Amino acid sequence: MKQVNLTVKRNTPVADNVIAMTLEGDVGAIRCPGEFINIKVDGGFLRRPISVCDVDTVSTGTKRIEKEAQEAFGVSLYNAPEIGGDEEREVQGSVTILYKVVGKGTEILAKCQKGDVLDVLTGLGNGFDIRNAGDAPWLIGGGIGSAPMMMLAKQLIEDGVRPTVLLGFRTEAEMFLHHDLYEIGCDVFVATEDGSYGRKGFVTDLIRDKAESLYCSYIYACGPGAMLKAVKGCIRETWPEETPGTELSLEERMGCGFGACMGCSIMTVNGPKRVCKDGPVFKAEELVWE
Amino acid sequence: MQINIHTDNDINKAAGAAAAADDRLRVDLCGITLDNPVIAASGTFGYGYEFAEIYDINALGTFSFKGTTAEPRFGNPTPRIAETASGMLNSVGLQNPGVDKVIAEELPKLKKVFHKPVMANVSGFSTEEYAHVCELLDKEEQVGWLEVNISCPNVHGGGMGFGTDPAMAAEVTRAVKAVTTKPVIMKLTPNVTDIASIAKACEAEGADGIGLINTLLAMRIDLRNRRPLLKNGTGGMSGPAVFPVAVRCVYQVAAAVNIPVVGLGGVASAEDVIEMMMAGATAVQVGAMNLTEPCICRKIIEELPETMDRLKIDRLKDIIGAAH
Repeated sequence: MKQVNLTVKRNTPVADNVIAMTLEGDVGAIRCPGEFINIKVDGGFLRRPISVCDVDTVSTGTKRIEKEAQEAFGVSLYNAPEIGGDEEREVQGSVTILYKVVGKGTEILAKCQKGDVLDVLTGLGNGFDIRNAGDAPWLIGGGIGSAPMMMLAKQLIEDGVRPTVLLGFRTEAEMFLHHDLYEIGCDVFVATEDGSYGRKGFVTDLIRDKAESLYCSYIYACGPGAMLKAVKGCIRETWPEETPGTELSLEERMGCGFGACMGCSIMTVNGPKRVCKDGPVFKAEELVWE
Repeated sequence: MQINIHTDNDINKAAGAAAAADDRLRVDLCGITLDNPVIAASGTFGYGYEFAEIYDINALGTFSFKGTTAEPRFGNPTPRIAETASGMLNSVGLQNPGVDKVIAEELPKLKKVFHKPVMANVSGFSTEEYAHVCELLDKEEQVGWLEVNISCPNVHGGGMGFGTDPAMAAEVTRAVKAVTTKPVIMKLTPNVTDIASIAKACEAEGADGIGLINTLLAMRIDLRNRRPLLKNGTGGMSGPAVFPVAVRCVYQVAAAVNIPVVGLGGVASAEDVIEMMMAGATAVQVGAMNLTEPCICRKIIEELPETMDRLKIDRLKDIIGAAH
């Protein structure tokens, strides 16, 4: 975790009610896809936790963060020391987040102008582990939960893997990121609930469709709780014999976002876990859905 | 009992000036010297590690670790956090791994990052549970004080129930004092008619200090689904919004008892620390602000000397209860 001041470079709508904000400054504490940042908003008491969609460093992109971690600590990014590590690592660049205007905090964020400086906690949460991907990973996003798939897809592509991306939206006007993911080299399939674009139905329908023709080595998913539950069930039904390993990124109302207040705890097969610190990404088999 | 946390007795001349400066902030809490009166409050600081990632937590006077019960507890269902103007509500419900695991796992881990006596926060559902957990933590070398939480608003049939009745508060105090050697600070709830009478009942049974206030019982309603925002219905309110309530309670209790008072509730700045001390607090805890400004305690400690200069305060210990 690192507290930094980041400057708003862009804050523009990319779909109905979905805004992309790019923040410039020290993004060195952001280690892997699936992490989030926690933003202080004027007039709000609690910070607003928002998933990292993408990170660009001034020089050569996300790979550089891993390289710098290795140079600085002599270990992989995933084993970087927890205490003191983030404070010492400074990497200039930018981080992009996508958010939906749903309440007071996001309304305030939506009003931010280019050049505004925001107080942000970076490097929060335990993200997706790309080492598990295998040679044909599927990335599944629902609505605003599609955001973290960008950084994840970029890292997988840098590793020489071509991800299959399945996205679910309510309607065409709310779609985002599908073009960007296609342009960086993903196979992208979209479902909309009203059938206005792509397959009519849910992302689980896409899973069933694509499983007939495409091999899946591993699954990464992010979206609303109800969708993740359905995805978990659908994966087990679709591949009853050899169920692909699955990582799910959860959402929960948070207090601090860095593990201190226990506000966002969930019960797992391994006991209580904090969504903000032990997650937001969990292995599917760890979760006990009520 | 005196535990001196400064072991270096041979202060050389160069360190002399620094030591004199340190003396401006130093206070004595129940026989233990605090380098400064700033204590991170229980439930907002975990076991310290998350904060140790971003600053040296040895800068603190001390901190009070997460409320500990005899058995592991998950707490209440989520959502258990809500926001309000200048503050927040929580209904965590005393999530903790249980006292055995705290002693076996958390305290040894804490030892690596925190080198001062820590405040052990204890909660329970019966007098026997309070006494049992306190007795175990009392034996731990790292523990300086026992902070007995008879004020949690988020658990049914326990916690706050003990803190709303002078006779029950007295009973818990007596039971804990009978099995412990370290200073016992009884942490009180503001959700009562006469907080001073509860404090006096604790003092009469040998409490070494009084801590207050715990959170205020509160509720928010989700306008879209017309139900309370918190799954538990009610929660405890904290943050700068409750600060004046806390100052009033500290003032009333400090006037009623002759044991040290630890003030908390919405403290957010060096000025707030001084205000609490003027109301009668010997030491001051910082709670909810840790969650939104993780470095707030360090910032307050750094700002204390210049704030004192501005207010013509030489030593903090001189202003305890100055408003009375």
